Amino acid sequence: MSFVVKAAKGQSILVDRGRVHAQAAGLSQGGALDEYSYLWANRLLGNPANAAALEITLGPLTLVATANTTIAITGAHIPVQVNQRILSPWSSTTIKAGDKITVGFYQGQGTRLYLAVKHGFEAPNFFQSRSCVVREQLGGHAQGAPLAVGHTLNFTASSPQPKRTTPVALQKLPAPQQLLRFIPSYQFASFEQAERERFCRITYQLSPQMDRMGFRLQGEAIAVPATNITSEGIALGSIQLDAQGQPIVLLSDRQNIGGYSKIGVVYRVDLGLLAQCAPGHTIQFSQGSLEEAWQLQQQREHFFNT
Amino acid sequence: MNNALVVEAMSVEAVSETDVLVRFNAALSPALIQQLRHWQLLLQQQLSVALIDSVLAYRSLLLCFSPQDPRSPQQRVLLVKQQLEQLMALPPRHQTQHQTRILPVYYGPEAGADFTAVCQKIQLSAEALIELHSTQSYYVYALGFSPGFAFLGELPEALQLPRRKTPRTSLPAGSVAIAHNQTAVYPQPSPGGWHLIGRCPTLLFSADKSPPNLLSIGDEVKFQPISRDEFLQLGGEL
Repeated sequence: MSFVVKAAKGQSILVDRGRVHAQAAGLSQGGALDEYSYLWANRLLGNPANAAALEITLGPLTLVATANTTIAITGAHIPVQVNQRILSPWSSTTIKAGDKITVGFYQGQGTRLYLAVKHGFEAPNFFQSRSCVVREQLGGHAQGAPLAVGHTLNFTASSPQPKRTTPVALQKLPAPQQLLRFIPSYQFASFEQAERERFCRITYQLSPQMDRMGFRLQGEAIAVPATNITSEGIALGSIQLDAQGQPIVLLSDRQNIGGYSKIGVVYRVDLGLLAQCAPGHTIQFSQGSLEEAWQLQQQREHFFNT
Repeated sequence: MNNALVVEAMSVEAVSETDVLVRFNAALSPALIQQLRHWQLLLQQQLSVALIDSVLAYRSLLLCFSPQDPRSPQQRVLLVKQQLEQLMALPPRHQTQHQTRILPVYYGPEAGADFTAVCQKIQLSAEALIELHSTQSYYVYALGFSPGFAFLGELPEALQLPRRKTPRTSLPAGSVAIAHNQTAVYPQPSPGGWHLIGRCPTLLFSADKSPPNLLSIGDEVKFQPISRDEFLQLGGEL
């Protein structure tokens, strides 16, 4: 029972909510970059929140099913067809053995499409996760390799399920000028106050230097404190300033430790929106609070686990 | 070993919705890192499934709570403080779980592209460089960068050099390297900015083993000079 990969460009990998106790062993956390869209894909199918799904970056990708099942797509508005039938975004649909699923190419509205299957994709567990980390050549369906022609993705067949769709108001993609709220933490207090305030006024553009480790931003330089930091653990979403005073937001496949100054951590609920942005996208930071970030994160967690 | 002497004070900060960073105000030392490793393992047990990861490096410990953990960041900070204060109050430990690992190294220009340049920069003979690098013990202060990569300290002062100005985009697996006050073995072919002085044939990471890393934080590491023939016999490739 599987999908057979007939065509694959861009990068498509298996993801879930990430590894457990892997950073303690020096590895990356891994996991869906846009966790919100990923969680919705599983929710539309009634899957466990942590079921393995496909993260398809930019596309295209063509799969042929060898068994009946139901799939769900969420995230980027990249066209998806089953045979000749065009799927509506953020919805589920039944699949029959022999059906061809054709994922098109990036349309300027989000970069990552999530494709979940009923019961989740099957793959070996590595640190309690099936997330693929390409940089490490570890995890996923083929020891760290992204999907390639001829690969198979296994699942357990299931009978058809009624179509479900995410309410339109809850289908989230980035705004043309996306605001990223952040928790002031780490070395925040070491930055000069004028620089902290300026940081929130600068209009940044997403650099082409972006991958699953982190997204670089380009804008006016910020004066970085001269303090020497001993390398320390890096939380998901940390905003690190490099020696030139340019920020990089560190994501799922980041290294576990680092010694650059960090001005704070992007709200977890805002990270998925950043993950959907393409190079050149306009970004602005907004200083928020730990309390607000935590409330929003707990609400989201509660929503997806009930 | 008296814990109170190792750790004078700590600060505990909620750095994100889920993560709590503990910084220990203490001088870096093998005793400190072994003590912190011991506490990391105890905290993993005590916090159980509420903790989904933890990152120990040099003198800080990042505790990553599960997004499903219902406690507020303030509650987590209090909990961590409480647990650590109890651990710090325990009688000193006489036994540590750390291991001693001997890593064979084929030193020289054939295996380490920067060997000759390093000798010139630090004004030491080849023999003296090998002797200095392989005589003392090192300790694992952090794991990271790439699977199986262990940051080892501290390098003797006579061997300390800043990183290369231009990092290499790719260097061979097993490369033994130095930079600043640290040394390491690159487990896989990877980019890297450290100075290469030799190569180690030992496998440092295998995904199908549990744990996959040969080295754990706090472990003692000694480098043992070997010949070209021994290197090849041990499975090394040039």
